[in-house]
Amino acid sequence: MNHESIEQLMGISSPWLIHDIRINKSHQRVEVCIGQARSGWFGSRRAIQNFGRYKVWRHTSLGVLKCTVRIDYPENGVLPNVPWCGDACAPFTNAMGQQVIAMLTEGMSLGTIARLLELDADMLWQFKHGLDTGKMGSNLDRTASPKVPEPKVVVASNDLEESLPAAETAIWRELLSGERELEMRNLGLRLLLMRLRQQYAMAHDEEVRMLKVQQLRRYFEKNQGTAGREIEQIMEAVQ
Amino acid sequence: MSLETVERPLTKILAGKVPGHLMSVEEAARIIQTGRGVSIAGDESALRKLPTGLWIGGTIPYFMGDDGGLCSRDKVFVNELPAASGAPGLCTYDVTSIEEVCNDAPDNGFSVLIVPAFSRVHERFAQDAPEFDGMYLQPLVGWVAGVHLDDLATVKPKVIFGPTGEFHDNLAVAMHVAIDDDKSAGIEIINLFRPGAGPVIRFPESGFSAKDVEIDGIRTNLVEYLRSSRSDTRLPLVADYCGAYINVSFQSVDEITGEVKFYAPVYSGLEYRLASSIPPYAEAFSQQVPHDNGEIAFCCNCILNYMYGELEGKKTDRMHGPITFGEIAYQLVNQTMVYLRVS
Repeated sequence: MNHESIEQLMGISSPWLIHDIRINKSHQRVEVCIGQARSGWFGSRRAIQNFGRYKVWRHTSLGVLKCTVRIDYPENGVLPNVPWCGDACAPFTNAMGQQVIAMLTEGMSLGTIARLLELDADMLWQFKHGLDTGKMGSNLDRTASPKVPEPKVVVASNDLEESLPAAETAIWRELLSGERELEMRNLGLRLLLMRLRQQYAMAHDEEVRMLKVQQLRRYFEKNQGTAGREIEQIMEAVQ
Repeated sequence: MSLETVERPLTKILAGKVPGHLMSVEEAARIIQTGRGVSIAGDESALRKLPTGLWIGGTIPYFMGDDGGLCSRDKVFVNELPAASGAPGLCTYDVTSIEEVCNDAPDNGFSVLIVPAFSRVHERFAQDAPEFDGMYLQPLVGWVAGVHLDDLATVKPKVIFGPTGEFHDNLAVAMHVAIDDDKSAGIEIINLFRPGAGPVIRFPESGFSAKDVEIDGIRTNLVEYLRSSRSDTRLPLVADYCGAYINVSFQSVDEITGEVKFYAPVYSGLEYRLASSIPPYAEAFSQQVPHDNGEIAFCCNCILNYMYGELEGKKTDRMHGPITFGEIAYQLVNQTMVYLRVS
């Protein structure tokens, strides 16, 4: 196995190196083991420091193989802020986390994402919970963005979807930050907006904040029948 | 069975624009046999006599009926749901799959969820429902199944999956109901309580219990505060969700451990206040129930309102339904009347 090539593909650089690649063909899995080079070692070039501590994250697939990354790191050591590593409490690497957020932003359900990316549903739930409570996601916007695959689920557009202000329009962020209020009659909207405002305030990075914008906008797309009065206020505000 | 005997209660339900009626087991069985999707509440002994069919149910012997609040172990409350053509979807959910409940909702319609009290799926729903995928996008109403208060120590609350007739104390059941394209469904609540003039209470952690909290910014033991302020814990904590007041009710106050337990989780990051006192419950409800002719498709009220408000024998207008161990208006709420309008 050419470890250098895989290091280049994954963007792994010194002092980190791949010291083992374990392929399980029957389960179509690969575990990439990463550590810090052992200095002054004249044996195997791939020897790493034995910290006695490691963590495993689910990473984006390598070819047809579902990939996990195992990183050995020192007690109290700082994990590298790179796509192939993740938060200490996260189940995914930053690259996989960004892919999940991008798919959530597109409006995909957790079930669909789990199916498309072959992720454990519980793990995915924990990740989303971590994002919503601000406990995860602090590294995401500082790592390189992976290319997000084209969504395989096509969402039909309709007139309202096209006429609602685009997600980039300031009104959505004003509503989420509490700078702007709506006169609301709909209980679901009140509960959702309260929840999203909390999550927006706790969000560490731009991608998570954009996810909250899309979640709020999607409410109006789906509830044009019962939220007409609120939609009118939004339209008036942007004119 | 003659069609005539079946038509009578169904017509009565629709013409009166009430969410359902209290009836005998025999009448309920006839309605089930018509094949229309229904949600049924009743004591376990009564529900066990019903045939299998297109229904979901939960155990509870307390109701709001034509004659006001009452407890009955013999009668059941049948709620026929206003579905479009086609059968509604019936599902069971465990502690893991419950997070998918909103994704199973139809594009236009609503879902009715019944959860057995004191179960893990109840705890999971109470704690995590606000974060479930698709939550708040489609109406999700329902209630928490309970038992007669005399049976609390001996009998477990259960839900029933009608197609198989199975009773479960660890699963939730739901009916996902599609409605006609020209109709829409919306959830409304009647909460008699408003935040009082007392201090703001903040919780450092979300959960069903608390010890030390912030009261007007000062860390204080909640039990001590409730005692020193002589607070009436029959009144709930109230949080303001963008203008919607949502209650969390007190379950117990333990002076020895210094811990307060709640019937629904409190959430960190929200501001709560103890509710101000209210006029007699029955009078307050009748002032707030909708007096138009719009269809009320579902309704439930809280057992604590029934107990503290002494609602036995008192009418709550056309708001009929089970009196429950928790109400679901998207998420779990307490001491609240929840209803669903379809218009």
